[in-house]
Amino acid sequence: MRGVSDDDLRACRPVYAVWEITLKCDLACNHCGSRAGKARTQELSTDECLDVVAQLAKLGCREVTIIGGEAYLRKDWTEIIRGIRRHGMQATMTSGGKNLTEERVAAAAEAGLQGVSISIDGMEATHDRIRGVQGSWKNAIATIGRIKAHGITVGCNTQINALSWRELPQVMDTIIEAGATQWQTQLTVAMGNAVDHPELLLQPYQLLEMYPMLAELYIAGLERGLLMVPGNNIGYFGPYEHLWRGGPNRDGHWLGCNAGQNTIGLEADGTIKGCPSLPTNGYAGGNIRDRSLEDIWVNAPELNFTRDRTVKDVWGRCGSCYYADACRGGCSWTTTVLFGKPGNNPYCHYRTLQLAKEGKRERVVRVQKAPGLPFDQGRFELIEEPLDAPLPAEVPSTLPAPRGRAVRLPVLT
Amino acid sequence: MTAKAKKPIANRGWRHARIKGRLPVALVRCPGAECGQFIYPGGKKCPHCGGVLVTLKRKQLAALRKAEKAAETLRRILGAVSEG
Repeated sequence: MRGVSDDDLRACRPVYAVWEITLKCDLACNHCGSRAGKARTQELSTDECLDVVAQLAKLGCREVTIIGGEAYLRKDWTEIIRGIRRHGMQATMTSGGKNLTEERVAAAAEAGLQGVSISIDGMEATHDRIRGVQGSWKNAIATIGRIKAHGITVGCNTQINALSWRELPQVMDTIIEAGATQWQTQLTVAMGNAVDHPELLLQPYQLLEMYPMLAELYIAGLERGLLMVPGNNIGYFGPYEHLWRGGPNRDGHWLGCNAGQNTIGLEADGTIKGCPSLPTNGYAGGNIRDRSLEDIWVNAPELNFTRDRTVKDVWGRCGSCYYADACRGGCSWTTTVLFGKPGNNPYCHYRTLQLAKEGKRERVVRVQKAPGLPFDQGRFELIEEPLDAPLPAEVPSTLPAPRGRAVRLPVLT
Repeated sequence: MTAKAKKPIANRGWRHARIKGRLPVALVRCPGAECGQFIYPGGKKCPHCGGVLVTLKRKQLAALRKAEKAAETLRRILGAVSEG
């Protein structure tokens, strides 16, 4: 369903929508880009949401993933799912799974929810620390089985960062045992709460050690019925690109950022962006309370940036890269939040390998804090240095201890 | 899942005269047995391994034929064993 055809590409049809239906959340994730917690003050009403669903369908959308905050904390979330299905689109959800109770899963299944991705960011202690709430790992793992029991396809998604990456093999074993069949992996990005905790971020040179492990897990997972689906900031063009995006013939590859071309992002107050993860500031094309979705999609310059982008917009080390024209600097979100604009991506496997051949490595260092708003960004400096240069002393982590006690949910037998 | 979607009414053919998308560059993989990196089509040499692409392709096809022949021989032997 999410597959993009040449005709979709030529028409710039938004076939895949990711929709934050509320910013309300029951977790306190230390990497959360949207700094979710309380609902936005002007979130869309049920009628407005159903109108958005109809407008998405009209534009040719084929799959809508509802997210939050926590999507299930909106009272009408199953009504929105029902609306998505009524318009012939696939309805999926990404969730922390902390309070996705039996009652809620049953209601979602009845409404037609087809797939859920549960966030598992490490083993128990690491996950609870990253997610900020004690017991969240146990609840999330139990939720996987609960979803599966209702016949909904269940996958997991994992943040790869300085705390979690060494635990990925154990995470894979755990989620396979729990019943997951897909595993989306993604590097933690310097946005929102993650800017406040830069020690969470993996450094670009660490990709040299991390990617071979991830490739081994990809192959081992396939043999055990788990398909790893690397997120948009994984890769690019290193020795494993044919695994990440190759498809059955192993000939596919990263095609450039798809924001505003075949992907659309919606915030809970009706703000429209080309990708749900992009900063609001500078990338919000308008609000569906003021203009139609089609008008924003077609005319808003904030959504056009990847359609109009050329190889000349790729800069820094990416600008002189062999793959510049095919890649266009990787994930726009990952780079924009580091340096204020897309097109120069130090989190690239090919780049880190080329640098290593030259005896060099890159590090990112925060030089400006973020203001503390949803989807905000700080500013980072890129340091290029000899591969064997001594690393600066580790800054003590400022991650708070996870709050609260474990919430007991019924365990399926 | 218990609810079934009704007949889709999404406008699958939506397009707008004002916007035209770009078809991304399609790369191919270097046929070098030890390389396999993605490269732009139409070149003569692989920029990664330095191999001459025509020669590498010829070697790749020869290796493929050899592998197919070996597989066929193996199938024949296994067939004979199971029949015997």
